[in-house]
Amino acid sequence: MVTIIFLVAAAIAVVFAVLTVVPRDPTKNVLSLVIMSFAMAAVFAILGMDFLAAIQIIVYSGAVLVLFLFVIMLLKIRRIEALGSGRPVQALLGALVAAGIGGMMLVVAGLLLPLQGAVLPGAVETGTAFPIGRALLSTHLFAFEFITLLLVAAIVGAVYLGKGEEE
Amino acid sequence: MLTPTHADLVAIAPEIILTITAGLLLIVEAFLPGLRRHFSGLAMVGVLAAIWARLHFELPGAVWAGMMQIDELAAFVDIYILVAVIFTIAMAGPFLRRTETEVGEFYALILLATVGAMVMASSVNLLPIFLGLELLSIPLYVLNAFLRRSQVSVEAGLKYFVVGAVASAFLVYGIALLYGATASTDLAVIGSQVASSGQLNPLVAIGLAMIVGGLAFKLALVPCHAWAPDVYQGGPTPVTAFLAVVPKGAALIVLLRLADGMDLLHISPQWVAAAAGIAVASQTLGNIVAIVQSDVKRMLAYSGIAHMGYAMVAVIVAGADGGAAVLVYLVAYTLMNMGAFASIAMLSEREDRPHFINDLRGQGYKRPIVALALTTCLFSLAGVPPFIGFTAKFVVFRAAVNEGFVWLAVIGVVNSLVSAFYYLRVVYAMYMQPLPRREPKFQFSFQIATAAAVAALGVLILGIYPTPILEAAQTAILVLVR
Repeated sequence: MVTIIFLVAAAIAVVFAVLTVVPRDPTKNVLSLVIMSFAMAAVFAILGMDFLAAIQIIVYSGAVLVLFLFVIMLLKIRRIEALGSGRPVQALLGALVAAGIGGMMLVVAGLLLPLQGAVLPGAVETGTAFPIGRALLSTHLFAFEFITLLLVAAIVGAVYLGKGEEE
Repeated sequence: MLTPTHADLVAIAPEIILTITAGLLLIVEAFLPGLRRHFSGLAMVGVLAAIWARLHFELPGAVWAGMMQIDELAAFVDIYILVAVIFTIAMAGPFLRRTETEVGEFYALILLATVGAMVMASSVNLLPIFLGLELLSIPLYVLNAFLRRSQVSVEAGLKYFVVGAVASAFLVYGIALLYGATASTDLAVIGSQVASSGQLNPLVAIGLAMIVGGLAFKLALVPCHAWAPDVYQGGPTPVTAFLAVVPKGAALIVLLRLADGMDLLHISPQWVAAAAGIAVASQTLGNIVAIVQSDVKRMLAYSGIAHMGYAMVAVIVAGADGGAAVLVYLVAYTLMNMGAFASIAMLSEREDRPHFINDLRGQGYKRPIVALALTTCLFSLAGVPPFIGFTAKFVVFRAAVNEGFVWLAVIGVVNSLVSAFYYLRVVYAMYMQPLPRREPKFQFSFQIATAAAVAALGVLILGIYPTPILEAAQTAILVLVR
């Protein structure tokens, strides 16, 4: 049963990942990404990462991608150029690299097969919110606090680049 | 629950000081923009205080639940990064006034990027290493595009952003695979697991390859080098100097930690072959393509690619000798590049125009001090004795020969000879050619000239008397290899 759910979720994720890059209407791209992130949430849930699954839906599908949609609306982007149009050599190289990485992922999946059935660390009966919260405020306290600097830097940079010229 | 101890906080005192200075600069920028003239001074005070803190407080070793290792190696790298930042800020003040972009955000972003580099270099866990790299990269995307009215600058920012995002994706994917293979992000745990297994299992190998690929983007090593010339050319010169030195230093330290921890030299002939291939390709391509450049900054970009190729030789050798050689090379590379970029920051007319070598014709007599500083740094970059560039290359090639890589040393020496051609072409233009008919108008800046002169003096003095640097590097690397 779990295998069937996994296969369905994985197939949806792959199909909509492709649809995220192929169509030339950016709204379709973003909506495909929303569906893909739902499918990923299902995969996380199967792996026992209930907290991550919820976060995936609330943060990515719910907040980040809606923000993307707003940006597309505000910038009034109707159509974007097809991938690699006008640059045949780069398009070919890009396709080759993508195929190479895809092939490598299949190899990795094959290598990971023996580890099948292994439960991810932290995926315990109490759910994953507790261990993640604990880790964030203990072993990963430094990283947790450090990320705030990253956000400050990103905001300062975005505001500088975005603000108009001074008189 | 972990409450940060006194040792935890003292260990990152320099980072805290820099962060507070950055915050202060942003607040003053918002409320008292009239004080902008003093921003570079304030930033400088912050950096000097950070250096003082690193030298003054004792080094506690492992802190923050073992995420960071604040020891002699961290101190060496921190101080090397902070010295590079001092040069950057010294150049930035006059430069920003000239381009009318002197705002607090510039210095705040430089300081935050510095914190990122320091955290990246002193972390022993892949998680803070990745976060450090991001904090180093995100400000640099903006800083490269800082001259918003200049198309080349915005282009440089965008290119660095796209390439940097790809590099981050590679790195994080590699980290995920290593975690999948070893169930840890701790470099010591990963290292001992891999080293004791005596070989790279395929999962570790792919993960490691992706991490090295991600770092190779930051190091501008072949085949991940294509962004370097455009970004060097378009970005504001002080940012280019920072970009040429600080991210590369931090990335090399991470590579060194990985190579040493896993004992890659002895367990993985594939790693040695791949890394040697990258090193040789970077040296050769960098030096040959540099010959045909007409823009000094593009030329220095290719020269940087070649120099990271030399440094890779030391990373391959690893161990006490190779590690010390990496550190010495970084110090040399920093001084030479800071001197060269400071000189170019002054010998430039307009930022949105290329910095043609032809514009430097006759400057040897017109601007003797800056021209002499540039000449010193270029000779040193070419590896001519008695400058520090020679010492650094000597240390690297000696380490390679001692470990049996005679052929790598030979290729390196041949490449250095090739490189002399394009470095000396600039010197030839400055001293042997007359001033062009339409003389470029270079604005003299005492501050930038001083920065260039100090860097050049460092190149000369440490070249003649390298003992302090060699000893400090050897002490620092002992904590990694003991």
